[in-house]
Amino acid sequence: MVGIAHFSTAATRLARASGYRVASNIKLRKPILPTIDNIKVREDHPLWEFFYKKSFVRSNEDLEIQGRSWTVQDLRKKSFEDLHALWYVCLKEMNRIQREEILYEDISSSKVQQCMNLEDSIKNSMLSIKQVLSEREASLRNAQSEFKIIGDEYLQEFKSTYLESENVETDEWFDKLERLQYAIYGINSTYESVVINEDFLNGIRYISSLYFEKFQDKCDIKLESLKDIVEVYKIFENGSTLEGFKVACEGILEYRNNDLVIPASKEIMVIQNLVDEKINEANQIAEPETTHAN
Amino acid sequence: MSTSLKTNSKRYSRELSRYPHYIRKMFEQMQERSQIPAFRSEYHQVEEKERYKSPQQWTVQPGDTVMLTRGKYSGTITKVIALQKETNRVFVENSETKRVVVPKQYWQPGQTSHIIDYPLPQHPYDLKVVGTLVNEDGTEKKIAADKLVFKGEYWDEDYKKMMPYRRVKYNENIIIPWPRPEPKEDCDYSTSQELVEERTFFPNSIVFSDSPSDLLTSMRNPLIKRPYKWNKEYLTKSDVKRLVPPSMPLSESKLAGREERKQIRDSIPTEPSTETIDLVGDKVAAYLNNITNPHLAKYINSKAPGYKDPILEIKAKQKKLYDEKVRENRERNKITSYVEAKYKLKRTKNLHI
Repeated sequence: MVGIAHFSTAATRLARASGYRVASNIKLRKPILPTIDNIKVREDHPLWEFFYKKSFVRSNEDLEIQGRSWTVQDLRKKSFEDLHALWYVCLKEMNRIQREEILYEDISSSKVQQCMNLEDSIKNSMLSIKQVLSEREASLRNAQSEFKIIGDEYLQEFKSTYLESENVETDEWFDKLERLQYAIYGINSTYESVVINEDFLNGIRYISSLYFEKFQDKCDIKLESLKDIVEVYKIFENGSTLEGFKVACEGILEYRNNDLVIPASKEIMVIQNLVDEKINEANQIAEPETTHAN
Repeated sequence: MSTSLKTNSKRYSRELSRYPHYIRKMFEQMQERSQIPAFRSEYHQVEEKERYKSPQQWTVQPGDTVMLTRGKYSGTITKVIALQKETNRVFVENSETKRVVVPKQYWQPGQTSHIIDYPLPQHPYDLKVVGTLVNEDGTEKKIAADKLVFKGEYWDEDYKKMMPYRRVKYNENIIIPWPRPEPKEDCDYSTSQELVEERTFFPNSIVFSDSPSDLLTSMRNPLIKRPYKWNKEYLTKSDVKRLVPPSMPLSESKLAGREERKQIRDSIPTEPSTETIDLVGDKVAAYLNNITNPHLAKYINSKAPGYKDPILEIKAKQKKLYDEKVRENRERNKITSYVEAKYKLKRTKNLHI
């Protein structure tokens, strides 16, 4: 008896209670047939990504494609963002065409070959993207390891040309230095996304040594050498011109009155603070209103 | 799902190219037989390697004016419509046709009969390319090139590739230009030329790159032991020094032994001394003088340095005699002929007088 109670649904219970199977006030209508027309899919449904132009299979004209796939030579010009975007475009298209290919395969249609051709050209594009990216990574690594071998020689050569040239306070030289410090030490002149590490310190040491050796003789204030990293940083910041170099030398003389000694372990921290100060100053100049409001 | 490793992958599926040619032929025949007669091709497919690819191989392109040199319509001038890459043949206008029966389900739009004439493709070998020559007075003349040569190449803007100059053989100054291909319309997948040529990647630092740092590990399994093909591999001088084992110095006793062996080697004479030559000569002479066998003795005597063969001597004498005789006869003949000529001359002179 327990089992029957379980099987009884609301309708049968109602029928038992009232004596009618269907309530007397309910009007019977035609049944709704389960057809595709009765199903509505919203326009931005994510599964639409698997359909070409929201159709079940694409038409014959759409299968006849012109042109070729992306070659390695084309893609070598493109940035990572472009390649990444193109990869996902290809992937989506691959999904679409493979879905259709399966359908055609089931009915052994001759369109399978056309689908496979399209798929092949997409696949070639994707392979080219992979090739370009791995090539790029490898070339970057090779450049880094190569620089360890020939880097000192190159920097020495650069230094000698810098010191030999008569006028270094030109835009050409400023550009050259900016490019050099970004290319080798990763120092951006605006400190954008800067990371203070050993490379950074080496960079500012090299650049400031350039300035120091160039302007040392012309400057009135005689400094025998740069003693610690703060002095190096001051020269690096202002020393690109003779006037700036003089200002930096005055700053260094002031700094030397303090008799501070910075150990090698704290160099990075000190420079980090100095750079942060510099960035804050720049931000205040750029957005004076917000700082006033605060 | 019908897709599986067996049907989709190149490695596990039945690849026709992996079979030997005779089995491949069998499969192709089976495939041919399984089709209805309308779709069976007259010419069998050419292998992938032997298919024509370059315009030099094809010698014609769609749009070319050609003269047929074979079949029912040989001698007529027609146009190339399309290339059939599977059979290395071309479709031309007004070519021979094959009557085929097409089931209704495969009817093309506008078809009204079951029977249609299907054009047969022609081999480019059976075609002669027709070009036009402009004379000095402005009139045009058509020529059919018997043989072609391809020399030099140029960038063709319409084909978007380097095309060879098509010249008439033995008259290489006559160039038959390639026909203009039909312009291709852009499809949904086309990218504009400016966008393709736009440069957005500028490498300017060896510290940073625009790709994420873990890119390589995401693209390639880091556990693979095979060396990566982009890795630059070379040994430095210090590496070579480290990898080559040092050679052990020789001990003193070994060096002394080496010296001793060298002295012994030098002391051994390379040529026999006169004493040994004499000794050996005496012994050999004593043996040869004691030989009793006459044949052997004769043979050994014949090997002596001053020996003269008696038969040869006799022959030489005979030849000398013979030569002498020949010389005498020749002189005698000379005299007789001289005398005869003298008397003949006199007689003829007398007769004339």
